[in-house]
Amino acid sequence: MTVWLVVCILAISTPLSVLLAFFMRSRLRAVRALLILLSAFVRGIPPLLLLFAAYFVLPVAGLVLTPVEAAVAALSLSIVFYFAECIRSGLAAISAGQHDAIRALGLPRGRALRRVLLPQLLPVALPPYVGYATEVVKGSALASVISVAEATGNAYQMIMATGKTLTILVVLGAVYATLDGILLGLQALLARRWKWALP
Amino acid sequence: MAVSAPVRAQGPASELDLPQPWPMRHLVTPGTLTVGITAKDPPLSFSHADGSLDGSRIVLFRKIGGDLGLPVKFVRLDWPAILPGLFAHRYDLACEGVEWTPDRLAAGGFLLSRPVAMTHLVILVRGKDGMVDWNGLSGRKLGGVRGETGFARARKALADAIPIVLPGRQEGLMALLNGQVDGFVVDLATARSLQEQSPDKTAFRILDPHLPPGPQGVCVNVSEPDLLQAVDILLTRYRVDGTLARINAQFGYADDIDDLTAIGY
Amino acid sequence: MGAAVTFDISIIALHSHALLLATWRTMLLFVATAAITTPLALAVALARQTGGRLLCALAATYVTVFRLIPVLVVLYFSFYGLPSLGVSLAPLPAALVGLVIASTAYMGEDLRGGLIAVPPGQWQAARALGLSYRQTVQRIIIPQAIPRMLPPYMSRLIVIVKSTAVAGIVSVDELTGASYDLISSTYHATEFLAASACLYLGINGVLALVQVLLERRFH
Repeated sequence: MTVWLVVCILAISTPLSVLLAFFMRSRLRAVRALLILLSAFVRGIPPLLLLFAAYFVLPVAGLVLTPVEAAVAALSLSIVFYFAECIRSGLAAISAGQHDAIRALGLPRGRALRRVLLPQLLPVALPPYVGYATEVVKGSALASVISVAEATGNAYQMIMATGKTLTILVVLGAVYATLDGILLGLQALLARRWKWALP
Repeated sequence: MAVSAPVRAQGPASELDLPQPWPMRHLVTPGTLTVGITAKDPPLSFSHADGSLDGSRIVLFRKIGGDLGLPVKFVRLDWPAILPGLFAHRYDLACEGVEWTPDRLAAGGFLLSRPVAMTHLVILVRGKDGMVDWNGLSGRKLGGVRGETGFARARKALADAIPIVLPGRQEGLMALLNGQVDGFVVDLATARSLQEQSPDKTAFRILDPHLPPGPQGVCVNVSEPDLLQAVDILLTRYRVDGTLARINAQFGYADDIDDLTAIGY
Repeated sequence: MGAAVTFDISIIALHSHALLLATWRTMLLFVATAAITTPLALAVALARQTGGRLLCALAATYVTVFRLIPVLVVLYFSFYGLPSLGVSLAPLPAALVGLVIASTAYMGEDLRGGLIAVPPGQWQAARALGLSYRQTVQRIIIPQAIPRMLPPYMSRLIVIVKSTAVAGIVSVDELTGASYDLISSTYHATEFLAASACLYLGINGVLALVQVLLERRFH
C-alpha cells in the first residue's frame, strides 16, 4: 500500500509541478503573484492538517473521499509546490538568452528540450527533487492516521500484537530505506547519464 | 442524560421490552452502526497480529450493535483524527473511553454516554528504586501520556513533581526504564496490560496514589440523540444484569466496576 | 447529517497563552535548528562538490543515510535509544540533535543543486587568479549560487518549521503537541486544529515573505 501511495502521489504531483513551475515564471504579474501566494499558503500548512481537510472538511462541501483518495489528494497537494520550487530554481539556472538562441537556431521544441534545456535543468533540479520524493515516501506514513493500511500503521499494529518492538522497527526502517534507496539510485543513474553537464 | 433515569427507577432493566430492531433515524450509514476507534489502546481496543480487533470496548460496541439489530463497522483512526471525524459526522459512536471532566462535558460537538467503566489512576515506578509511596516522587520527574486527564489530575495532586509529557504508553515505559522519568501515570487496566506484556515482571511496580476514580463514557454523534438514548438504556441494562462487569472483567477491569455505585449508578 | 460544525472562538482565547507559548517554543526550535543546520549543510555540500575523494565519500554517505532514515526514527533514537548507551539527553537537546542531523542531509543536497549551477570554469579561474579556497567560495561561488539556492533553501526552512512538530514525541511542548494536549483536555478539536494551522501559516508566511524579498534583491 505504501508503494502504491507513493507512486500515485509522484505520478500526480510531478507533471502538475512542472506546469506550476512554468506558470510561476509567467509574464503575467497577477498569475505569478497568485501562484506565489498559493504556494506559500499550501506549503505553510502541516500535511496532517491538509489530510484532515481532505478527509473531514471536503464532505461538508459535498465531496466525500475514501481514506485512500483523501490521502493521495492531500499528500500530493502538500508536496506539489515543493517540486514546483525545485523545477523553478532549475529553470532559473537557464539564462534567457538560451531561449532566444533556441528560437534563432530554429531547433524543434522536442529536441531543444532534450538536448539543451533538460541537461541544464536536471543537475540543478534533480537533487532537491529526489530529496522531496524521499519525503513523500516517509510522509506516506501519515495516511495511517485516517485508516489507510500503509506500512507504519501496520507495523504499529504488529508491535501491539506481538510486542517485538525492535525487530519490527528494524524491518519497517528497511522497507522505507529500500523505497528511498530506489529513488536515490535513480538519481545516481540520471546524474551519470548527464555526467557531461556536471562539474 | 436524564432520559433514561425512569428506567433505573423501575426494577430490573433486563426485563424491559425494547424495540427490535431499534429504529435509528440519523445513522451516518443507514442500517449500520459505524464506530470510530484507534485500536491502539489495550485493553480497551487493540488488534491481533492477523488484524482482527479485540478489547473490552470492541466487545461492548459489538454487543450494543447486536442489541440494536445493527451490524457494526469499525473505522480505525489515530487519536488525532478521532474527534475531527466525529465532528465531521464520519461515524455514529467513537472513543474508547472519555473521562468526564467539566471541560469535556461543556465542549459540545458530541454527546457523551453514561459511564462504561471507572478510571483508576496508578503510578508505575522502577522495580529497583524501592519506592513504596508515590509522595516520594515529589520534586522528581513524573511522566504521563499527552492529553490524558489522569495525568492532569496526578499533576495537580503532586504539584511539585516535574511533569514530562510523553506521546504514548510504550514511550512512557521506555522513558521510565531509561531513567528519563521516575514515575509514569496510567490507569490500572493499562498498567496490568503493560505488566503482562513486559518480559521482566519485576522491572516496574504499580503504586496506588489514592486519587478518586473518574467515570468514563463513550462519544455519540451530536446529531443522533436517538442513538444516545438507546445506548444509555442499553448501558443501564448491561450495568444491572452484569454484562458490563463481565466484559470489563474479561479485560482486566475486574475490581473497579463496582466503583460505578460510588456515583449512584 | 449536515448539522453545523460547532466553532467556539472563545475557547481559543481562553487557552491563547498556552498556544502562544507553544508557538514561541516552535519558533525557538526552528531558529536554533536553522542556525546550526545552514553552515553544516553548506559544509556538506562543498565537501561533496570540492572535497577530496574521502571527504566526498563521507559526505555522500551521510546525506544518503540520513535521507533514508525518517526524522522520527532519528529523534526516537536520540531520546529513547541513547540512554541505553549511557547518554541521556534532555528533551530539547534531543529534539535539536535529531532535527539538525536530518535537516543537514536534506539541506546539503538543496545547496549542492545551487553549487552545481555555477560553471566549473569559475572555480578554475578563481584559483588561477590566486584566490584561496575560502576566498573562492566566499567571493566567487556563493554570490553566484545564491539566486539558484534561494528557492530550495527557503522551501527547506519551511519544511523544518513543520518538522519541528515531531519534537512532540520527545516531550517538547511545541505547537502540535500542545494543540493535541488542548484537544484532548477540552475536546474542542476543530478550534485548536484551525488555530495551530493559522499559527504555522503565520510563521511560514513570514518565511515566504522573506523569500520574495530576497529573490527580488538577488535578481
